[in-house]
Amino acid sequence: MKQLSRVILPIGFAAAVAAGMISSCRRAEEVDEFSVYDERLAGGAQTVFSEGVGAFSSVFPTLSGARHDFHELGDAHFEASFIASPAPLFQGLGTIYNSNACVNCHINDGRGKPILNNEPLTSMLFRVSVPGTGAHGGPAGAPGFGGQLQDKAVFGFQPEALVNVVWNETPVYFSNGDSVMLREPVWSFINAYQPFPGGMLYSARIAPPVHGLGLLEEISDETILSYADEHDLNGDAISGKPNYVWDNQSGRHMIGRFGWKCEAPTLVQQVGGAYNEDMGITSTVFPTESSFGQLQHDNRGDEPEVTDSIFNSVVFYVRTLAVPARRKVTDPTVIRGKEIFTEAKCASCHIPVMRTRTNVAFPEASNQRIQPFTDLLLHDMGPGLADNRPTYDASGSEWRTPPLWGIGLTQLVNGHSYFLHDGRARNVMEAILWHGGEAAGSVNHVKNLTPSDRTALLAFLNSL
Amino acid sequence: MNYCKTLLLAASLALLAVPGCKKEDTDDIALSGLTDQEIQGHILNDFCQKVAIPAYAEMENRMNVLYNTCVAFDASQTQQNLDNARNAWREVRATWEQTEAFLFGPVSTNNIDPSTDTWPIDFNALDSLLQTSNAFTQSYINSLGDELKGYHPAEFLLWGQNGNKLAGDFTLREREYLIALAADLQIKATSLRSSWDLSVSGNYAVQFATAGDVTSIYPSQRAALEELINAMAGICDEVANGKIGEPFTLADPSLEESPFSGNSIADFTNNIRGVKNVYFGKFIADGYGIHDLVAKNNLALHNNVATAIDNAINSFSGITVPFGQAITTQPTQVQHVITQVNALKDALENELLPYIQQTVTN
Repeated sequence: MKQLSRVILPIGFAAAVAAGMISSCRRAEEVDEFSVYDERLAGGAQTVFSEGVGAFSSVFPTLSGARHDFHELGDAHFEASFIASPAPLFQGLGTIYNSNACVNCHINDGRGKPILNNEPLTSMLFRVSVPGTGAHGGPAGAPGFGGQLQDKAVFGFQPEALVNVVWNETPVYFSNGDSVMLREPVWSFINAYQPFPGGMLYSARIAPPVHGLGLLEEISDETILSYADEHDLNGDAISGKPNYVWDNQSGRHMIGRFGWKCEAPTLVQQVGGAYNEDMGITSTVFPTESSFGQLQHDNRGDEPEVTDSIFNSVVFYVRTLAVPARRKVTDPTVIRGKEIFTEAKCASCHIPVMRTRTNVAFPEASNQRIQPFTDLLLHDMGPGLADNRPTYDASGSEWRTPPLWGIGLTQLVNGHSYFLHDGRARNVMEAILWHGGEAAGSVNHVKNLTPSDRTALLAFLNSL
Repeated sequence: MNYCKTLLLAASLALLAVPGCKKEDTDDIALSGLTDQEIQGHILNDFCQKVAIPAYAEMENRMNVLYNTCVAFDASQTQQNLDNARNAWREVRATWEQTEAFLFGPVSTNNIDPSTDTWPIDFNALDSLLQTSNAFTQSYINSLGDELKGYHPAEFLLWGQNGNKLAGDFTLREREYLIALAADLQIKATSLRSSWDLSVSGNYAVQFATAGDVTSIYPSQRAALEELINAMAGICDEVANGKIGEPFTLADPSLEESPFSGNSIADFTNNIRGVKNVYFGKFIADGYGIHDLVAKNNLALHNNVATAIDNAINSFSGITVPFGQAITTQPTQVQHVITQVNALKDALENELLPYIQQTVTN
């Protein structure tokens, strides 16, 4: 009896383990990564349950002690207003710039908006270049203007140019005859401080929201490349390619993750670029004034204008901004919308779920299951959205898949729902209908939806 | 001697606070027969009707007074006219600082805050600007950077760098610039007041008051109540750890926000009065406030919050010299303010907020 049980037990145990393995293997095949977890946790452990104006402004909930204090320091400097040098406090603005504080474009850490008439730009800017490539394969700076048009200047200096806009509207029809008016901007530049170079290329850019960026930085290159299909070997008409851009810290090309065309490889470079080009403030990362070689250069030789400790605190601030939780995830309409999102192949590029890499140096963001709804890759969006201004490997019609987490809170946080790189879409449906190129099939799918399914798709997107 | 005076002052203020409490206990807001959900609806509606809208309306009116007094001073540079303009500036500030207890909605999304209350100002640019002959038209002011418009350049012009400017010290250019700044502030105040107009459908105020309806950007009444509490806690944090904490910790008076007028203590106190307005739902006329819901269901919590509010407001009376001096000559009193305002922040963030999150279900 004893002996038998001794024999039977191990056998029984082994059988049970084997059965368990089989069933768990089966489960593994059936697991829908999209729905088996708590879908509200868009940012993994760094999710905040916030449905207010501060939804994009919360610190990582697990950040503690001195790291939390460093985030707060960065927050204060993200909000600080700079003025021209020399000044006792917050000097270094300009001489030419787009905004005098991070927060004035990224209002509430959220999304900027386009100008609707001929008024000063508040939370958008223009990248400029001339045809050909510049250093390291990037855009060739426009002589006299560089890589970005600064539309403001400190007192006594002239802005590079001011911007005017006219909006043209055209209708687009759903298959049942319903229509939506799409508006398209026609930009023009006035009062340039000197003539523009011939054939200058320009691209309008809305300030994107800055929450969750630290999690996106922790997605491994391997994960990003696993979504790439540059030559469409799987024949789904959707490619997806990485943009290899210059990282001036490591002195090599890296996969770009941030910016409307994946032009920044790291948050250090993204933030450094923003200080330098958007505010005219030099840092160790970008020690040369954006106005160098131009009439507006101040010749002060006071670089870097922002200290490393303050600069690093601002990088750390955006790196540790949490992601708002999804809402209404069990609502039947939202669930139906989620099915449509997949059926229409939106989810082929707006990848719902992925994991960040393991990084012991950044435990808060390490190995998190997140729902960013991006693949951080470039896709051809067709001529309708093209800016015709290539950036490294991105052609004039290729754009990064922007993350969709938090889009349903845009109206609440920023008081508008203008989407896409230049803010032309006035709501989510207009943004969908502007997609072309690789997304043409998805748009056709949406145009053929019944009105109730369209409502469901929007309900899902608003739950993000 | 000074210490005795301070104690007396504090004691008399504490006495003054008592009738305030009594009035709140016996306020004429009827709660009987109302469900919590109905009370919540009243709170959100009255926040718009009885707090935000009258506050922004008062700000607009006081901005008009500021403009008119600046024009009068330009016409006749008497000390009395200068004092009138300075008082008008302080009055506008008093209202604006109270509205900073709810820095959400159009004031934030329409860039009103940075274009009126940017700090620091750029002395060099301001001087250079005054040296030019550029006409101070509205479009010219509009084209200037945020650091050259709003409250603080106006304050600098009114008081001078050391706060001792005389009526006869003003140049024509300074008076013209002052009028143009006041006119620009008027435009911003009017835009802010009209952006809260409840009769315009789609306006932010309508969305806020109807939180929980399918047409509102606020998915629930709870979300809107959380917005109020987060805003109140946010200004407490800003006052305790930013506006007061930074100059105090670094012992650097140059970090003071309203140094020329010596108005900083009034600014800070009005920030916390703004918290009181929101919590009690009262700016001028009494309306439903969060306190009605909390006092009905959890009197101990209400007492904690109400006491913390009064303690924070009363703590400022300990500081008897301008703030820039107090950070070095009255550090104990300044630290006391920081402690009390942080205690209020904690009561809002760690007691009131979780209570609302856990008990408000719609």
